Amino acid sequence: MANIWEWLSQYTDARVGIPRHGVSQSTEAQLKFQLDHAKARDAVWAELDFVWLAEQLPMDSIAIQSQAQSRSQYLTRPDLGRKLNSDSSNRVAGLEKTQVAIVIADGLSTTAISAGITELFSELKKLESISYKSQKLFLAEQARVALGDEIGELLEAELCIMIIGERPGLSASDSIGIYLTYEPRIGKSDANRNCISNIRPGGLTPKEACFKMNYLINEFYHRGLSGVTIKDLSDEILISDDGVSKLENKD
Amino acid sequence: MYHCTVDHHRVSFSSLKELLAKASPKKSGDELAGIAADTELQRVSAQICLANVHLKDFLNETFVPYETDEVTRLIIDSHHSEAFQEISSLTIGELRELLLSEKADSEFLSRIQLGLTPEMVSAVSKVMRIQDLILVCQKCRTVTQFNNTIGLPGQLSVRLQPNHPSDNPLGIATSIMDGLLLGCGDAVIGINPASDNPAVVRILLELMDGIIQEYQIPTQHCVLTHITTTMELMNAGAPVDLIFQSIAGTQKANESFGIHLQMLREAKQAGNELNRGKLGNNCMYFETGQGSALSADAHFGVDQQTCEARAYAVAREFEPLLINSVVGFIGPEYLYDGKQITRAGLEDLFCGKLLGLPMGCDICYTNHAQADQDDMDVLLTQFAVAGGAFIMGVPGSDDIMLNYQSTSFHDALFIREALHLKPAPEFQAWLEQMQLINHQGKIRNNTSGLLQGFSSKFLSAD
Repeated sequence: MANIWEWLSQYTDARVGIPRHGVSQSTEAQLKFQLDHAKARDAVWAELDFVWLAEQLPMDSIAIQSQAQSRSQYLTRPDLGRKLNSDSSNRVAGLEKTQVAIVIADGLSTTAISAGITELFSELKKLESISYKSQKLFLAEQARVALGDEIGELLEAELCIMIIGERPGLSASDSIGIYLTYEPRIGKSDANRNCISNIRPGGLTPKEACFKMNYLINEFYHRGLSGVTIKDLSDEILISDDGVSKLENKD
Repeated sequence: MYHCTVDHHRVSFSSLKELLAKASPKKSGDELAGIAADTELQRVSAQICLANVHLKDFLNETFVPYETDEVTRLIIDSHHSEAFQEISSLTIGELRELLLSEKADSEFLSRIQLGLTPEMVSAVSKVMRIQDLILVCQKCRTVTQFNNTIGLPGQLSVRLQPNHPSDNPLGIATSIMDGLLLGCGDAVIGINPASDNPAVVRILLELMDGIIQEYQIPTQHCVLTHITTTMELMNAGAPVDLIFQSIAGTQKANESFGIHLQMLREAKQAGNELNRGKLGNNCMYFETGQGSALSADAHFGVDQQTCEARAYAVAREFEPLLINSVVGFIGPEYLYDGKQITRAGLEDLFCGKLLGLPMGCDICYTNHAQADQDDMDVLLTQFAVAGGAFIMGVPGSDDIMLNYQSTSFHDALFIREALHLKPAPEFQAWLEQMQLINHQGKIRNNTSGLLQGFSSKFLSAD
């Protein structure tokens, strides 16, 4: 029977055709599940080394913290993860006004950031849509997506690019998400943002993600807003440019 | 004001709503809302105080204003004073004792069903241990029918949940086949679609309908998309068995889901008019979960369990085939760990059953909650001992679309074996006829591959 399920697994990553002993899963399948869960749990709970992170990036950065003081508080109080602590808020308020705030945040997967940020950031540095704009880079600890709104408000920024570790799944614990908000201000909702998700080995590549980002940012400036009314049509552009879609969903 | 004296200290609570919130077993969501007990002593003091409150008081004090909330209006206006008569003199503490007594048999519990409000049911659960909840749950029976029968004694059904991150029909068909071969899918074959595009939803409906027709499977299907999309597709002639919607316990929370009661009424009527159920016409499928009202900023200071029970009052108005509490999906800011998830799962089962609903449970957790497979085994076992109607079946517990862990097909086999539970009788007969189970009802070890013709009909890429 193994062959049938091997053949079927081309259609889905679901855990189908698990060998059975009595009514129970094989030892191998059970331990594979435990291994994947362990990776996902570690991705949530591992501390991100922000000093190390700053050294990896080819641009000066500013370290900031949310009001969540520990990982467990971060998990139970999402409201605190959306606000700067007073020290960080003073620091950001003292900076000169900036057009683009780039924030790298631990989010719910610290391993996603530590594993994937270097390559993603070097692609991001090539973005044409923001190349002539003033930029500042923040490294944010215990942060939720909406923390970028407060930073944006203090800097009177035109755009916030929030790069954050996504909630780990069992199959992928190392996904990065990018949330883009035009005119980021306190009180903006998720409907005001555009998200590029699933950036990881086996998912969206940093190059593909930045292509989408460039498209979306140009649309924001063109239309003067971001959010649900902006549709990501970058895939179609890629297809029409060279006749081959590099950004097809992998399924 | 509600007062009582505990250890010579007088404690007071300003409203019934506050009393219930303080009496609630510890939940991170109630703490996030700022309404939970500050100390364990305060929690138990509130429970002692609550035990002395009369059921009648619940009819005089609304938790969310009648004038501005249609769920409150539904609860008050549909309250049955005749059914209430038999219990009208009781306190919450006395109600607990009555429910546990021999007098409260299945027939008695059905009789008082419409005399109970969700707030009363939630209140009494707060002075009950898990073993109390289980004993009462076992006595509650609700049987519903569409293409088969759900909720008979000794039965545990399974929703086959074959989700795929890009709604790939071949991938979904693969997971459906895996589940059917393992005896799952009698509650419903139900897909959470990644896309809300009606054209995609229709493809999925036709895929499931094709499989069910081809093999004459006595079950029903559902795509869990917004009710307006389903109605649009029904009008366009797509094959719709069950009509799905997420519901919550306040009008404002339902508005955040883009629904109101009249919309549900219209959908149910349209479903009934299709008349697709071979045995019965329970055509609705609801999902709920503690924390949904708070997450929509629509809880009005009501604790998350009571908000959840109010959602059941909405559900019972529409006589669903199935309703399940998706207990661990919402995350640790509402239910922090395995202990909180387990307690919530049993509370929901109890409240739903006492209100007369065919309760299922999505026994599940996310990777940022403090929970693991052992916690799920504990809840699964308690849920099944308590006589819950159905659980989810996901290949290997790993939902690759929604990124969380639920119960697997193997978990369903485990609990059926451990507690001698069976699928829906019509589905069981089909499994026997297809030779997927032996005459003792056990899944065969030597299933000779897929169902005949499945690859050529449902897995050919063109």
